[in-house]
Amino acid sequence: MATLDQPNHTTLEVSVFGPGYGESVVIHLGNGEWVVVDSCLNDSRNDPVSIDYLEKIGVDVSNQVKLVVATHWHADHIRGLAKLFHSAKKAKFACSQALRNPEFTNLLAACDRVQLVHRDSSGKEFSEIIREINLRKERGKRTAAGPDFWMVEGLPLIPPDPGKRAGITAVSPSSQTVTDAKVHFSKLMPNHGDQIKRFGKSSPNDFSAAMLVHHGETSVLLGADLETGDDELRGWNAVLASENIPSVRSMAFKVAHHGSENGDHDGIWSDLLSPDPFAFVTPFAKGPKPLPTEVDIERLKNRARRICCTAWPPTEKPKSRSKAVQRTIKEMTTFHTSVRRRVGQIRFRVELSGNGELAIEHFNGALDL
Amino acid sequence: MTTISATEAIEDVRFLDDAEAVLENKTNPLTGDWVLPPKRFSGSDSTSESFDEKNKRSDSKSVMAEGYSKPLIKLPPGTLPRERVKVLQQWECVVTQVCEDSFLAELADLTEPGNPLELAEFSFEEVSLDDRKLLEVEAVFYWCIGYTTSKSGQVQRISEIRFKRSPKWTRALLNSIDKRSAEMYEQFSGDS
Repeated sequence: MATLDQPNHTTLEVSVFGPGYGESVVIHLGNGEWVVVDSCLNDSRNDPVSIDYLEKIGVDVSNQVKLVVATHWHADHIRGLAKLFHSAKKAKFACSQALRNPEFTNLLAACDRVQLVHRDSSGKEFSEIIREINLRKERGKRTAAGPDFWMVEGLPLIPPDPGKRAGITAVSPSSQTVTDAKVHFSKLMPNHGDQIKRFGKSSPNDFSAAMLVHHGETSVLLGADLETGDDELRGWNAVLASENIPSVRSMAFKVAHHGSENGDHDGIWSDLLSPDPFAFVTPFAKGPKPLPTEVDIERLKNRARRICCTAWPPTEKPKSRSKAVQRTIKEMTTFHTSVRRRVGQIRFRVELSGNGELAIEHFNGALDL
Repeated sequence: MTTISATEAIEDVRFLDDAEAVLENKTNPLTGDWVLPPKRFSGSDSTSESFDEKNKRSDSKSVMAEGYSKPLIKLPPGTLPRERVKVLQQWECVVTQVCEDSFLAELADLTEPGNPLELAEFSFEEVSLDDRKLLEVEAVFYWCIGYTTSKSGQVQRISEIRFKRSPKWTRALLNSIDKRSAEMYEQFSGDS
């Protein structure tokens, strides 16, 4: 039976975490160096699951986490990210270049100023990260203002060190997406006289930063929430056409956008992945239809050797309440469910050299679909 | 209406030109158990005692000032039965999808905030007509379940959906955001 322990120094580990809503990827590059991509909260909702996991296996978060990445700004990917970044004292910070414009900070300032819904945290997480970066600069712990890396296709975040450590390279967003981002965010900003309401999400989500974790021929593709739209210069279309990203075929794929059809592209499987890859999915319980749908699962089964999901089903029976409340809920609603809270973990390990067996283990309710 | 005795404890007496209008005026600062005494205290009632006769037999708390027909009398708190509401469960909800005759929402438990997010579908019929125009994606509403007890003691289970009426973005608010945004951009982008 698999146990939670630290990987060997020459082992690449990619651990994907997810409850019914939320996602975090914790990566051991090798040599005791860790990277955390996105954040969600643990079962008891008080700490980032990445900190929980790393502390459990004896990793010194403040020194060994070298990089914290925010692939985009949606709430299900950044809850707890500010706390994580605060704890990872030696970590650099990376986010999508599509966020580098005054229109995005306008939205952050608006979220700071007006909180419509008390659980709405996405704007505040980013604002806290900006404060932390600024604080570190004031204390002389860093010289640069802002993120250390503005991710765009082809940008290497951490170069591989042969035999010792895997590297990370961003494969998105595309230059066109970055250019278009200003216009996009400016449309989200309210005008004088508009009703104050929560900011909507954009679709397709092509601001999201997908990346490759690679060492020689060994690589894992992390799809974040990148989607495929109609524009050939954006999303997965742009990734497939790019000549700036390492030409390796990945043996495993953190499936983009919770396995949705929007997040899929035939070219991912034919051009970016090895035959019969492993696929890892985090569900998304909040939408009109939970993702992945049955159709999505069938499609993925036809493409991958094995589909692992961090939490399935993504919803569960709501907590029991008094009879009067239960009765009223039944009378008032045609449908009532609860987002699954338990954070499952899919742990993928392979030797950096590519020799030796790879191992995939499930913890805390993760399973094969 | 409880019969008021001049000898019973009365907290306060006010004499106003139009006591009834004051009681109806919801913004009136007079709160608590203010009552108008029954008609027999009215000076206009031809069968009532004369003003002088009333003054002779009454204590100071129930004396009617000359020229006023009805005093406002404050009884000790809790004297009169009130309508009471007992809230059993409350959620803050956000509309995520609007369908033909129903809508989906995500529900955050306000009664036990540690509970996970819930998802539910409601029929349009559960929303009051006044609130229907506010029903759109990202609209915020509150759902409350509880019991009311009427003045007469009747208990009724209630379920109320009330949409949040958000204010509008003002120039002052937008200007304050511009200023904050400029600071954040300088910090976040590294561009000065």
